[in-house]
Amino acid sequence: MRLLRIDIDRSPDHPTATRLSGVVRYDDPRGGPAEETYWYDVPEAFASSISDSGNPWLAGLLPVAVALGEPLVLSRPVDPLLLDNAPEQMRVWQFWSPERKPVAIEADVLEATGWPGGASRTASFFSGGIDSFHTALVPRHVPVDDLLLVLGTFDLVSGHDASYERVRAKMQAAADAIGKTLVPVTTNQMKTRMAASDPKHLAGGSMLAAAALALERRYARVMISAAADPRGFDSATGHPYLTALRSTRRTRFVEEGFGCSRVAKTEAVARNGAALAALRVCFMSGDETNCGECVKCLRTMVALEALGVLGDAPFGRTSLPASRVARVTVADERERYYYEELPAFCRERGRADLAEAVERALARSRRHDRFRPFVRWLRRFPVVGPATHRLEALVQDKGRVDYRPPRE
Amino acid sequence: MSAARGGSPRRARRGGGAWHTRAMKLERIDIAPSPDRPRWTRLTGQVRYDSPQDGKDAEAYWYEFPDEFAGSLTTGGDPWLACLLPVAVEIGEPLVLSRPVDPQMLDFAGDRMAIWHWWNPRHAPVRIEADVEAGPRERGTRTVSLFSGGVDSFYTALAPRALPIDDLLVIHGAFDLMYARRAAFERVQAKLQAAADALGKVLIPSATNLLHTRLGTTDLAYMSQGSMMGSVPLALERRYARILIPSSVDLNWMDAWGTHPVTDAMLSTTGTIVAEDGLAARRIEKTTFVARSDVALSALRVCLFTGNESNCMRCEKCLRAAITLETMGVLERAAAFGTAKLDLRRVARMPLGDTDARHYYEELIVYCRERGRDDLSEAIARSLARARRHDPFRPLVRRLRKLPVIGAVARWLESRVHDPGVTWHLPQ
Repeated sequence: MRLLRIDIDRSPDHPTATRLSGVVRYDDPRGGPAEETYWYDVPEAFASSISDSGNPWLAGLLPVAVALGEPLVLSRPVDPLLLDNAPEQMRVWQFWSPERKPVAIEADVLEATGWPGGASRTASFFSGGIDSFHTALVPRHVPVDDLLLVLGTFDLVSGHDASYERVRAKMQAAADAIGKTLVPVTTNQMKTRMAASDPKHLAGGSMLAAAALALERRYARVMISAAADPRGFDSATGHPYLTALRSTRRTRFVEEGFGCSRVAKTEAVARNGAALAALRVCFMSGDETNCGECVKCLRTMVALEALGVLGDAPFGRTSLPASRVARVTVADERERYYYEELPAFCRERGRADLAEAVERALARSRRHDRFRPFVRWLRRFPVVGPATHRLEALVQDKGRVDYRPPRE
Repeated sequence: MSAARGGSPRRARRGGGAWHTRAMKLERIDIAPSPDRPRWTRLTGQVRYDSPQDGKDAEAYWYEFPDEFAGSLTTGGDPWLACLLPVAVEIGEPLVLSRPVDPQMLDFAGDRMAIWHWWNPRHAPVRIEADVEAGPRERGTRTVSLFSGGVDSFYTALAPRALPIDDLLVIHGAFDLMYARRAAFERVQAKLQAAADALGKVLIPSATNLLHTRLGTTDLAYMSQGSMMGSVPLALERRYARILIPSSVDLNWMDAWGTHPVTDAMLSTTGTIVAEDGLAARRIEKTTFVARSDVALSALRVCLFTGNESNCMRCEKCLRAAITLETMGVLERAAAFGTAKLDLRRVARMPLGDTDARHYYEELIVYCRERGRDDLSEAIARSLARARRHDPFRPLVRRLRKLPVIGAVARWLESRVHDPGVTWHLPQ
């Protein structure tokens, strides 16, 4: 797998943006294109910070190479620290998934003497969610300067230009309100082979790192909100150790908020009116809205309801009845982890009704675990399939579990 | 004492509330020739506590290095924030530092305390009061790795790198050498010097009294060990862009740990990265990797308790390493393990009361069997099974051991079924 060349030029899709693109060729196309172009569009105001090194490409393409089992050859020189840590990144992935074997990396190394300076700003990845706002708002002696909004990955994978623009505008307003500079980066990562490189368990952190390193000349530090906490981590949450391995001598990646529970972060964010008004936690909507139906939205809504501020947040409701909460389906283990924080949180705030509703939902979801494979199998059949849905609706809400195209 | 560097400092307080007059305070620091070691320099911090312990309300914490490295000693507050914060948390006193600290490290200090508190609610965060360095700092360029000569150390030192390790730092006063006499440390140093020379690295010997201060009474195993170890190279932070701490656990470790990859990394400053290394390798992988190196085999020292260059071959750590080396067929070439062969009976009589270490033995059972050493595999399995059977009785037995006569009887009865092992520093 080779990075053949990179280009920095005006974006053909966004007139006021500059595009960093890289043409990549695969040894084995595996039914897909033998070559494809990965790109990152940044507003012209930040174009002078675009990197021409191999660093964003080593960061972003490494998981693709590992997923394909192809050596990675880069046509641009890379930072020795990033290259030094690349084998350890691959060992981490292999530790979690033994079938993911490390690959060889071939690249020239940037001058190794001295540690380059020049960059001075701190960025934080910013989706407008609870973690993002918490990282942006926590008082620091080294404050966050820029909020990096990556358009086209994860929560916005089902979006399009119009929805991206609405998200950008909303996040711009939030950034202005909290005194930060919004730096939107649009990318086609999820329309390349990266999308098939297990973004949830393998490529996700690398995708973000690549977007940040595309602007490495600007940043001494890039903060990522921790998805895990001291209760544990896995390949889905990542690990602060892995995040740090993406650092270069100039640009350090650090995780923030590891020692803070999700509900504690929610409470901290809820104290800021601008953050609350701009909050977007939904992975399903593909735009600036929260669907209010998916399990992620609902868990945030429960916490905000317990805090008495749900009406100030953009979930389309001013209150959340406990009866609705009791019908939530929490099938995902990771989501259960966060839901388990809620009962104590709600009780401490005088909402025993919500606490009991969450407990009922969790207990029922666990009871149903053993039947899920069977029910999924039944759902393939006509008549029987729809009947299972109707039966399920008698006891619980399925919620929103799929991406739907956002409105134009 | 050299002048403080950087721009004008800002006074900072982490934790809000009123300034504290009653607090644990780093009152001043001094840099002077070592009173104990000719041609060494000592960095001393005078610390005063609000609540005395054993009649002592003040004591000196110090670090020593050979004179040739003294020019890199910091006059800043970073090593002191690193090593004193767990003490402040343990005793519940606000921490006041008389030297300015790095702003990033100060930010991370709050995160460190949050994690300690998560692990143990008794370790509540404390206020920190310190000036913050506001100007650009002098930046080192070298990479150092802590180096005890153990498996983790050698794994980090031997791994091929695009950005090489320059220095290897050995600490007279770290847990494995906290009671070591000077002569014993010098033997250790000589052995590690030979290894460093063979690897093309600079060996930095150092000494510290940290574990003989109040820091030594904190929860080293599950909170403060990393703070202690990381603070030593931070005393030379002007030399280093990167400090590596060889990881003692792997990615399966989910619990509290005194030298945890997350909290250790939070010792980083804007000028110096502090990071653990080798977290993605299991202990067996590290041992087999290290054992392929003749340099490492000649100097490998894994024992925490001899306080010298040898391995006792009685403690859990020594036996675990010896089992792996024996299975690889290289134990006889590991000079620090002596000439005695690995006694199978001793393996079958290992106490294995430490539940944190048992997963290593579960891996070893499979490893030995896969390499045709069913004898070792079965011996380990017997020890593990017996240890698990004994678990419900351990609290009672610990209580019985404290009683006269009954305690002796309890120990005699134990010796009928397993070896007592070595769990504390051997007499020097």
